[in-house]
Amino acid sequence: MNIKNCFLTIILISLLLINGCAQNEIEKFETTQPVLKGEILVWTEIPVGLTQEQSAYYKDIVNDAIGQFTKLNPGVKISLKFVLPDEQLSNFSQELVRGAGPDIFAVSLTNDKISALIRSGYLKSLDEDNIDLSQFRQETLQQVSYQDQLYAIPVRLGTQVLCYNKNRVKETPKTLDELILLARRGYSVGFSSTFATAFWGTGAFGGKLFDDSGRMILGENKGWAQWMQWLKNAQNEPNFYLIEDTETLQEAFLQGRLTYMTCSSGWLPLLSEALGNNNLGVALLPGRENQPATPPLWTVGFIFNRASNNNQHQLALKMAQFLTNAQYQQQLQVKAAFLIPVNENAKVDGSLFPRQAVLFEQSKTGIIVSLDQLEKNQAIFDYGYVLYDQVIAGEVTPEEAALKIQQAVNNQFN
Amino acid sequence: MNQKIILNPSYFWEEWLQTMIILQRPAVQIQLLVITISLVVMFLISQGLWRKFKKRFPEISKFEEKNEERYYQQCGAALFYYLLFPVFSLITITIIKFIFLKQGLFAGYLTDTIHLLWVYIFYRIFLTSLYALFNHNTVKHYHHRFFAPLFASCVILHIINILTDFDTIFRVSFFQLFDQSITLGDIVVTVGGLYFWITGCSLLEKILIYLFSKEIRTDQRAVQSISLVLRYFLIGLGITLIFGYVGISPTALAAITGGLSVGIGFGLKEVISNFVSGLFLLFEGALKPDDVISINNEMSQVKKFGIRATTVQVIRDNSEKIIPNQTFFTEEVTTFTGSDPLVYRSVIVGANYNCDPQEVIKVLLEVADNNPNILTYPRPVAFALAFGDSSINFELKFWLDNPIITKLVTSSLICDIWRAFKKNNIEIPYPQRDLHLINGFKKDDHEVLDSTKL
Repeated sequence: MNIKNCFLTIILISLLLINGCAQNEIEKFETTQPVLKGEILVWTEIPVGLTQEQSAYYKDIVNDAIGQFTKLNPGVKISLKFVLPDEQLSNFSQELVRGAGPDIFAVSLTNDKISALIRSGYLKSLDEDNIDLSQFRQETLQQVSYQDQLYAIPVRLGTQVLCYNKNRVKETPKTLDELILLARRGYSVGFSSTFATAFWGTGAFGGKLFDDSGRMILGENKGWAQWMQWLKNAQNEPNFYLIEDTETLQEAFLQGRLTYMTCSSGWLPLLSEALGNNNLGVALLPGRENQPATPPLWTVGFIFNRASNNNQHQLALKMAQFLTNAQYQQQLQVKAAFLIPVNENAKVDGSLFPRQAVLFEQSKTGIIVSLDQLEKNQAIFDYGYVLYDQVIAGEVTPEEAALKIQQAVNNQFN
Repeated sequence: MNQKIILNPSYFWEEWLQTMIILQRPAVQIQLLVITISLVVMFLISQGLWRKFKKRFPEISKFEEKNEERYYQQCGAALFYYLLFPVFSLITITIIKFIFLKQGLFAGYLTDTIHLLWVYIFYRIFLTSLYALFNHNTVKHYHHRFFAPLFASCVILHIINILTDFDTIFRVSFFQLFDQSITLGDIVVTVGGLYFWITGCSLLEKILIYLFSKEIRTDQRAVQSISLVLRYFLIGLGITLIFGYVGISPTALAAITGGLSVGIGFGLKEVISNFVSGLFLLFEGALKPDDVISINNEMSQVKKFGIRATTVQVIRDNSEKIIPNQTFFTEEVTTFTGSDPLVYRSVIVGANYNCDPQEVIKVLLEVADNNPNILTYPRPVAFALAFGDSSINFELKFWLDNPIITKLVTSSLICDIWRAFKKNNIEIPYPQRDLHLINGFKKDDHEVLDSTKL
């Protein structure tokens, strides 16, 4: 081998080594990026009251969203299962006891079984330091907390609004008094009449469910009693009806026997389909001067399985964060107009999407019952249902009902 | 058919993926590991203990061979053998579950295993009771053909249901038949359902026979016939119900059977003929199990009725013949047990001319009366039949209530008659011949004749 060849060989080897080092550097750079890899099992509850076609549409929306996540993270495989509400929760509980079940489950958090699962230690609490919670509406975070620990990531909200038939009326009442006037003018009004579904007017009379410390004060501040008195009086007005059964109320509205009706946001797909999308009007629930209605807010959130391994939990968490980012929440709101986003930055233009804007606006004045409060006060709420029925039936006065419920609160907690 | 959501086979992939996801969890892995180790260890320990037990109590540990004297000890040994493994496993896994729960670990699969072990224990106790109470071979037959597959199927379905939802899995369709999706559930119900139904019907038949023949003491042959008819009725009903449940279209079924009827007519003519003959035999009641018949000049006893053929036992050599049912309609069959099982038999015997015929008849009747197998009513009778060449011939006629013992009774009678005749000095003569010689003899012939003169 002459010197020239030897020199060339050394240069070539050096170049190869340098090239090798360069590749390693690139690899090093690539590996520093968090690459998500693994498989998770996801369950998601289908919202109540959807028809088969609407359920299929909803499934498409979720599948699409999951598809976007897996497209961004090709190493992640997601097995998705849609489950029926409530029916599957006991099934879910059984699975959790085994350490099976989904890694992440989008479920309505208004069910008292959730707190039982938390108490049993089957749900994983979330480390708030590792999650960006700033984008979430604070009231929704309150609902997913239990004993100052975060147990879910909120994903969507539901509430109550006033639905009306656009074929029969164009104007919407801003206040309860206007509503009574409209009823007197012949526009029939139907209210869903149970303790929970007819609670929304309490706030309009200054009533509150809990004080700032989280103590129940329903009977103390007279707001609930005054609201029930208003309902009793309204019952005597012409064209004003209190209807307990949901199906009867919906049927009366769809058949045109009711012009206005209090409705859950979850009913909107069904009503739109039956009445025609352009014929269904949605407005804020009427309140009183500077005192808006305070309908309950129902949060659907992602809960996490404690049995998941660390990687599965991280993947589930990432997916939950992806599905609650502003962009996806906006998409969700546009595609499924009955779902209210939990991301504060996911507002849509009210002129383009008026129904979504009304729902979002209404949710701002909604009231939240946290998992703790739900658990602690379940017996009181049950008693509230009984007292409400007694008041409407005229068996007790609203004031007596308020006193009784407060006595029950005092007895329970003192 | 009920409206059902049909899933495609890719569902299995989904379920597989879900199971794999669950198996990645340490909480699940530790439970499954603990269950496996516990079961294996307990199995080995129980086997070791059983070997020691066998060495120490070799007689009672052979409980398959029933020993009346050590019946209860054998039952105890059988229970010990059958329950050792499940009870040890149950205790171990229950303790482990308790520890898991104390430690805040997941224990759902341990609970499932405990439930299954309880079911297994009851199953083993049930089997042991069956073996203790009933015929070993019959129980063994149904143990392997019915109870064990049924138990295994239930356990498998339960395990599948723990891992996933078998109701959903059963809705997975593999192919279409007559414009209808055939689901896994349809296949399982058709194959498994038919198998268990048919085997179960046979078991039911056995139970009915046992109950009626032991408890009510009815005519066993009638019970067998009724239970057989009931069995085939239930099988027919089961097939109809299962096909109905699965949703096989009656139109499609009619089209198939219509199309195949020509082929069946030619190819399966004999089978169909036998089948129809079998039905006639059952419903007509001309033959019943245990009937004694004569077919093809051979006396046989009907053992078992089948829908295609009948099994008879040839009395001559105890062999079994499987006779196609149509034979009973195309050939002449003599039944000895049709309306009643009585048969009239006779023995012919000759007596010396020196004997008093009345005396002979009296002796013959005494012999008949002393034979326990001969019925006293109708009375046996004896006749003097004819003046034979060497003897007066007599006939003893008698009634039996079991045609199978004819030969035995005849043999016994002949021996008894011989003894009675000897006792009463009644000679059974040899045949006698008088020879008349026409021409003279040679000298040698006379010598021979003289030497043979009696």
